[in-house]
Amino acid sequence: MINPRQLFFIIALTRISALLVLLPVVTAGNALQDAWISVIVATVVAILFVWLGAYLAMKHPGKSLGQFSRDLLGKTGGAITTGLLAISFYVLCLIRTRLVSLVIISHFMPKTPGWALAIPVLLTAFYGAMMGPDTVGRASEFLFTVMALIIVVSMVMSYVWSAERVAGLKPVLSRGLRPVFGAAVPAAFLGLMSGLKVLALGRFTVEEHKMPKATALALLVSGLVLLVVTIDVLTTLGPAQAQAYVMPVLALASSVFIEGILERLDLVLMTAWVLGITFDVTVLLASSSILIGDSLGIGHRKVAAALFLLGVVPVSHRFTDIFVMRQLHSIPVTGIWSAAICVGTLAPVFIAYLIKKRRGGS
Amino acid sequence: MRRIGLTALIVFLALGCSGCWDSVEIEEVAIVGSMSIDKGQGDHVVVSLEVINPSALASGTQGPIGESPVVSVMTRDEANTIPAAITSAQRRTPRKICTGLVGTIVIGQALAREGVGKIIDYLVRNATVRSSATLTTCDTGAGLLQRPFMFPLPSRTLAGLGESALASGMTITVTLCEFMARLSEPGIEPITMHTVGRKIKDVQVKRQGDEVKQTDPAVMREQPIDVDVSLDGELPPDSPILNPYKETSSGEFVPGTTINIGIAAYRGDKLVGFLDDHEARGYLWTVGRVEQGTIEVDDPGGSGKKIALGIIRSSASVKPVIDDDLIRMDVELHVDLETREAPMHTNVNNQTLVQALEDSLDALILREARATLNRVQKELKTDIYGFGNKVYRKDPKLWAELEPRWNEEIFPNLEVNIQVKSRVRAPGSAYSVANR
Repeated sequence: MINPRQLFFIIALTRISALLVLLPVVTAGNALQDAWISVIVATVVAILFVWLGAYLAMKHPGKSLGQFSRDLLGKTGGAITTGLLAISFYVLCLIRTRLVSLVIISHFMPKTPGWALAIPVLLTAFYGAMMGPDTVGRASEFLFTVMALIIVVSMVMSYVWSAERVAGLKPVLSRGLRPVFGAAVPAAFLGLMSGLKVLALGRFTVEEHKMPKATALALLVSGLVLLVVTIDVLTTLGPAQAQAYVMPVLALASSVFIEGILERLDLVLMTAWVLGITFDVTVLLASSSILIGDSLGIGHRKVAAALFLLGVVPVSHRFTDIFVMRQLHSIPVTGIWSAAICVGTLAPVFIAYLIKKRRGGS
Repeated sequence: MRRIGLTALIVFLALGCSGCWDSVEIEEVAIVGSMSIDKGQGDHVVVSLEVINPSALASGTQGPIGESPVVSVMTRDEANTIPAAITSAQRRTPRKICTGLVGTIVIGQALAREGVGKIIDYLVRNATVRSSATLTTCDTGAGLLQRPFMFPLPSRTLAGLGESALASGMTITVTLCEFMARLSEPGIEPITMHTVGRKIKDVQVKRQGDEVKQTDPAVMREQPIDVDVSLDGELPPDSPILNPYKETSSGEFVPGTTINIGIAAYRGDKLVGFLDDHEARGYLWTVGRVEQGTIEVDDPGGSGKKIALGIIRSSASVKPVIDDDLIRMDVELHVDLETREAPMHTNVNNQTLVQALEDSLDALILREARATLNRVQKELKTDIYGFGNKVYRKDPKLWAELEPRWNEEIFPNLEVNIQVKSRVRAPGSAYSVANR
């Protein structure tokens, strides 16, 4: 079992790792210097939707979405709503695994084949999923401390701010509000997917009444970290150039060094990020297996083993490259994906819950 | 199941120690400390790399008697592109060239005049080159041919000279990242540090009866070389730009020295001119970036002598004023100073004297700032101050209309009101030298 504090760590950690990779608020859309406003919009939207998920999990203690959606919508309806979220978790797990290998290859190890990096990450995730939520919860406490290093480093980076640069953050909105909301879409999607893990992990969480608060707080804290990093990126690299980088956070780290103390900030960030993203992949695989297992009535470890074997080829193959990854984090793809999750999973389950509640069901 | 998982994990993690594919032993690496990119014949670029020998650096001069360890080697290769030139250098280097620790990148004037776009593209795309590397523009193509002085490495000598100029408030260090940010931002043009390099003329002098070589002081009085931009890419074979410090007798390149440091002003990716050390300070006043240095003013007490003041800090606040048909910049400069030297018996505790001193400082700083601003506006016509960026941030729609005409028409005639508020904050450690 995990406690609400560990749930907070898990969700915050996975969202920070997921968002740092491509920093979609900066790279997607055209918000430019106003991208930091997109972070706030994305965080607020993600909290609103995730709170619904956490509320449902709280109202069904000891059950995952796979179990209580079947109670609310029947076997077929439950399978569809759960399947949509479970498959999304699984696809994201594969995308992130591939992305880790691509980023490491393109920035540090050009000769290393993708599979040599991707398979160990997926295997680690599989091992974590096999160990179960208890182990994942305990690991989150340690790893969050490591990721806290990123937060501290981000703060240290902020020393490169100058009054003039920070004054430059005054909203320009040169193209209106549309680019700001557009840039918020991928970030809101990633926040949504991080927070909705509560629908799988809620089954293993004690003190269920604290789940909504822990989940919302996790999104808020990760949103603050993202805000600091985004402002650092915008003020240091320049909005237009930041948009052009494959991984703006690494470019930022490569432009800052603290003489006599830390020369290769990019390596520190990269190490912390790889740890964080491996953990994220673990939680995604575990959540996906729990949802599928509960929906089909089989053990989640068996499902995790099957998913691992299914994923070995996609994460190793060359058909996904960094261009594909950018498209997968684009506004249209993440917008449609978010809408599908909200309309296909959250809305039917929540409406069914309200109907059942009105009819006097528990 | 868990045992199988654990075993598989260990096996695959062992495989995943994937340094095997990209592993390079430190003894097999040729570390590049700095890089110079100059114009070659036609469209070619000449890439010079300062390859460091770490073991010689570590041993210093403590090597075996009679053996002088070579701390760095300069390679010089010409090709169509920078990667091709580096590959060419690699062919003649027994170790793998590593550009991950490049600290200084020097661009030759002739190439900078044509545009540094492709250089910047190479540097930004190359994930191993750090964005914290300092960019410098040299008036010749001999940026790296610096005679080492008080540092074993030429690049470190050059960087040290840059730091000294910075401490004199007469230049600014610009990293690759900052250059990129200025290049991509609307309404602000890039700058770099600018170095004037000269071939050293040694003269024989007698010291304690022995003849020794000494740098001819005349070298230090030379002016920057200005490239004729009408050459359309072809420079005469004997041009000092193409053949920096080349000995006519032996054909060898010899180290020179940096004799002046200022600021190079770009418009877009093209160099448009240089600001010498004094002009550079005029620019730095207006952008509030003078952080150190000394300033001399006439003694307001009427002694006819100078008072020297140390600059503690400076800041600038720029406010764009946009009326219907008028754009004006209101610039307010704040400068904090302390007295470093004054004519004997001058008491800087005297409020009247301090006020007069501050008035003199205001006038001097204003004169320096105005002189540079005039030159940049009328001659260089490039908005290195970022006034256009202020307009963009205040009124993006207006900026969209003005942007095509900004550097050529609007910026040169822009009204800039500069107000200076200097403050002598301290007398040093004594108010005056006591009278007998």
